[in-house]
Amino acid sequence: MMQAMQNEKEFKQNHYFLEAEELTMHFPAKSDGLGRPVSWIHAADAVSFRVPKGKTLGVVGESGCGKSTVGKMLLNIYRPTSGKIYYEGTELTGLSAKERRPYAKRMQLVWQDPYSSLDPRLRAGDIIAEGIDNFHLASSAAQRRERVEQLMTMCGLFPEQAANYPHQFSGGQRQRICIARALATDPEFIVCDEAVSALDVSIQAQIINLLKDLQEELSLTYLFISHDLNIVHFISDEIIVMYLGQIVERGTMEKVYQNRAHPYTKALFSATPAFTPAEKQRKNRMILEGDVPSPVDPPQGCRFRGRCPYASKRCEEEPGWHEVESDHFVRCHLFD
Amino acid sequence: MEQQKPLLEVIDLSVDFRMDRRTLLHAVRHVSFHVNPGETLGIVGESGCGKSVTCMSILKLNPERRTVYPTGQILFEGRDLMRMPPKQLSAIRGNEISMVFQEPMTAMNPLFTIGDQMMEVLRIHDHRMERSKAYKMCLEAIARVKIPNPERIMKSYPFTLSGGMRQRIMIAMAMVTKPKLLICDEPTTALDVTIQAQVLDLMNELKQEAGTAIIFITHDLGVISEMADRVLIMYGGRVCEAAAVDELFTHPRHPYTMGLIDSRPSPDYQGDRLRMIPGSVPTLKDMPEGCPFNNRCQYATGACGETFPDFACASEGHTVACHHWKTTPENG
Repeated sequence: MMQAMQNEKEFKQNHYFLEAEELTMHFPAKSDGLGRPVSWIHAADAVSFRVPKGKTLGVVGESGCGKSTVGKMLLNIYRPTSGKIYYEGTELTGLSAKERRPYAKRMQLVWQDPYSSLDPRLRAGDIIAEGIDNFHLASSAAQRRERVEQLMTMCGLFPEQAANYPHQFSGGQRQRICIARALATDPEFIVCDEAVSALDVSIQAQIINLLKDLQEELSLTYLFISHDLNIVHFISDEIIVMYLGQIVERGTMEKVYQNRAHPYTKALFSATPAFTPAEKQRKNRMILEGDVPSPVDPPQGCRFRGRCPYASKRCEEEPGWHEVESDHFVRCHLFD
Repeated sequence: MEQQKPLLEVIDLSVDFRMDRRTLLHAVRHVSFHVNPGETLGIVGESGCGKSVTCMSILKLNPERRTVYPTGQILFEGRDLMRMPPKQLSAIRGNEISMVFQEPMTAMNPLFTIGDQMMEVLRIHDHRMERSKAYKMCLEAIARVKIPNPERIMKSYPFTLSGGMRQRIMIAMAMVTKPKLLICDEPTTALDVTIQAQVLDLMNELKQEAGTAIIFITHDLGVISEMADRVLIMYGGRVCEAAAVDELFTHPRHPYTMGLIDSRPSPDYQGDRLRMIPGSVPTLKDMPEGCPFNNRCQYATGACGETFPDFACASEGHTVACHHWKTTPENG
């Protein structure tokens, strides 16, 4: 028994909590007259990353870069075209639906829009209790109610509000309901897909602090998807930067922030509006030309080359990964 | 220095919405500000603070049957827009004062080409303008917002363009009549950051070229700090602080402004948790008496629940409406 526990402990130290290996997601874009797809949306291409336990991995990128797709693949909302997902060493992608079910309990999701992600005809308490009901986590009605009250208090809501409907709550409170709902099954891993983007500035800070408190209290692991670099910088330990379905840079947050390597990362950070006069002065503005190309038939080679100020002939070939420093990798020909 | 004559002066504007026989919601209360020629005024606030309603009132674009203006004057170059006959006002709308809206998707008619919609703007204001002349002016306007191949764009429909392109077209459309004042209501909120940077850059350039004054509404403090010369902070239908942009961000005096600035995670911030404003933004129905911020404010006392504070002058060009502005710590 002791030996087994020892083994497991060692195993957890050696393996990352969650690993994604070459995840690829292609959606059919156009079909011929017979319903056979002829072109594909490359939503995610060979995306590999690891999430360390109890930490936050930030995913940044512009709309359409595949960051939400990645989150949804991890939670089995999309079935990846190819690639593997490992959860504490177990390959999730090979499991049958039945075998996969227990993992649904351990991995949860907080959506972006707290207005459309709550059923308007359910009471807050029942929304939160959905996970409890689905996995039969409460043996009696009293236990269920107690658990709901506990979750509501934990997320900064008043238990008396359990009988209210979603429209009676403000945006920030609704997002708290979403978080309480996600916590109902006692998950270890939560995907926050733009969890604060739809909220007002003063409410954003409240929700971010709540997420951090909960992370400490329950040792949660987050995949934090956002387009707001300041928030990602504040909350994340590690970061991946995505462009058009591919990861272009990854590493620990501070290293990537201090020493941005990929031209896209540089542009993305410099496009974030500066705030104080000191920040404004320090900033090197870099304005990109053009728009993000269509993910249907993305450019060959480096996908960023059409907008990159440093693009040259060699960028027509697929760039490889390069180590900028320890724990900081970039995918760009400039580092060949 | 010679005192500049303001282009637009809003004096003591209040806007109420009639909901049913009994309820009257006070969306905007006693708001005054001015815009100088060629200047960018930023209006910042959270949802429901009355920033959009204020700007819609300038052109009287609020739903007519429901809106009541109990007090206020809006002087545009000395003419009172508030009491102007509708015909005269529509000659100013889109001609001398133009507007750019938030959603570039819904602001355009999907059934007409970009060219038709742009030329309509010109030909409504000058019925005798020839089609060929309008066409030429539109081509120039599109080229000015740096969209390649304007001829093709004129023939295309809005849905064929990306969000950034569409917002540029909106700007081109608003600028084609060479207005003196451009009102932008959250023009970049729906755009990605790299596209937002492009559009902001473009707006700054156009402003410098044409000398247009801009009223820029947003909830994003970062955007305002890059765009505006002067900033108004609004909360609960009131203006709570107004100052030049750098002054406001380095020496905020109103507790709400301080809270807003602190809640944004700045790259230099070292703490483990963000400082935050407790509670949530009140809706128009349950707006507290006195200072609307009093129920979330850590410095609030009895007086704050009774009367709205008068504007005090904290330094030159910096006004603040708070009973306790002298005692609150500077810099938050």
